[in-house]
Amino acid sequence: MKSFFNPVWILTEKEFRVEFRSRVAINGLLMFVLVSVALIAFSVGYVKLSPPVFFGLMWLSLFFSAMYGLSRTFVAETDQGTADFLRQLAKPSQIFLAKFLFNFLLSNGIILVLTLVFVFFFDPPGVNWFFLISGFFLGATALASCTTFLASLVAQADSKGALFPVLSFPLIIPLIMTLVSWTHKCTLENPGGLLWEPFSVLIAYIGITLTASLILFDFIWD
Amino acid sequence: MKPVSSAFQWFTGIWIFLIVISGMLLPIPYIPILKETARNIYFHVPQSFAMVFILCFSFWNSFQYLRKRDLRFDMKAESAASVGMLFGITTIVTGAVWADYTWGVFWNWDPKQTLFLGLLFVYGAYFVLRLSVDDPQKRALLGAAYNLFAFVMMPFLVFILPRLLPGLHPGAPEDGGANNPVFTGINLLIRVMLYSSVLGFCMLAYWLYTIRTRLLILKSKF
Repeated sequence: MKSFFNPVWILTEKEFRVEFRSRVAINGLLMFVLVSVALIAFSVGYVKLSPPVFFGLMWLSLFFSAMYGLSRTFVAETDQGTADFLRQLAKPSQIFLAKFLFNFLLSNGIILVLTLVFVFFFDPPGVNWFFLISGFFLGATALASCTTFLASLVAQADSKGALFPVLSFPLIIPLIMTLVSWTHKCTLENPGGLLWEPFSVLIAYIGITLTASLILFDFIWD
Repeated sequence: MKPVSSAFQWFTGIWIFLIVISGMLLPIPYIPILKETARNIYFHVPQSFAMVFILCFSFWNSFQYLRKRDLRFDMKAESAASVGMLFGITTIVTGAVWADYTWGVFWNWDPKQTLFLGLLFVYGAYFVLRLSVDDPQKRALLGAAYNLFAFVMMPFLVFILPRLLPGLHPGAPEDGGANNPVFTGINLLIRVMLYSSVLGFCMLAYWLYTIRTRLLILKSKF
């Protein structure tokens, strides 16, 4: 078991090393988050946002920031021509898990920054912060688990263009709907019991996407 | 792929003809808001059944492609997906016309309506992905992988979330916690008619699928 996971850690560390060497993705993402929030502020900043609108806008900006950031790991691999070296080094499932871990940490980072910026710029509705943050964590995990596999598909296509958002958006609709209902329930008095339903949907979503990606990734990576 | 036998063609044609005539003429119980438009249950609902039925063929052929790497399976998967799209579009259109008469507007963001549109986006994305790859084997491989990945997400879009989120379609949860039924104490005649119509539309979908597959195979030879 240890020998299976060893390359996963090494590859994840490699992802971060490559990222911090150029810092293209991180800085680009930060600017993207700030610009999208500023855009929202210019268009609706002068009104007090009701909870559904506040969280709807927040999930929307998360979605677009994720579309910018999450496909990079695989696309950079084919752009720089390093994919073949990677094939020599590790099994497909190990590579997938490493990319997933990187995307998982990245999407959690995005959502952390996004939340701070949103709370800073807009007056946040009164919420149960514990449940809200666990919802963010689950949402970021689900986002990473769904999009990592799609990014590997996009990386192999010839004309990449807007392909990544086009492929991801329909599969993320159920996720966004569940997350919006989750965060909306966090504004209620005692959300604990009500959250069971979206919680089970999110867990099932993460389980299904991860399993399907791990099985299918073997076929497309060879 | 062999064409369907002429007996099958005659049977399907006469069956659909009888369904349309008897669906229009047979008596239907009085239901407050629906009134005579309730007859649409014989056309709108079976078309969505036929769509899921034919998408199962698409799923199966994509799976077979990944196992055997034979391009004929890829053509079958593509043609089944396009027939599925056709039935999806007719479902949306018949549903929208029905909604205009009963709910007052063509489109009112009922979860089932919205998520069904999401399902159409999934297959739209499948065709976009196919267009963006040049090499036929690679196109088949990426298409099959996306098709399998999307198919396992389909339950979220059409079966799970519409039963969890409040909406106007039958099956959506109501305030009491129960799910609202289609027809209270569903009538035996409606049941028989509905299931025969499902059978008829599934046969029609299969017929279209064989024609389309033969067309694609012919095209690939020239």
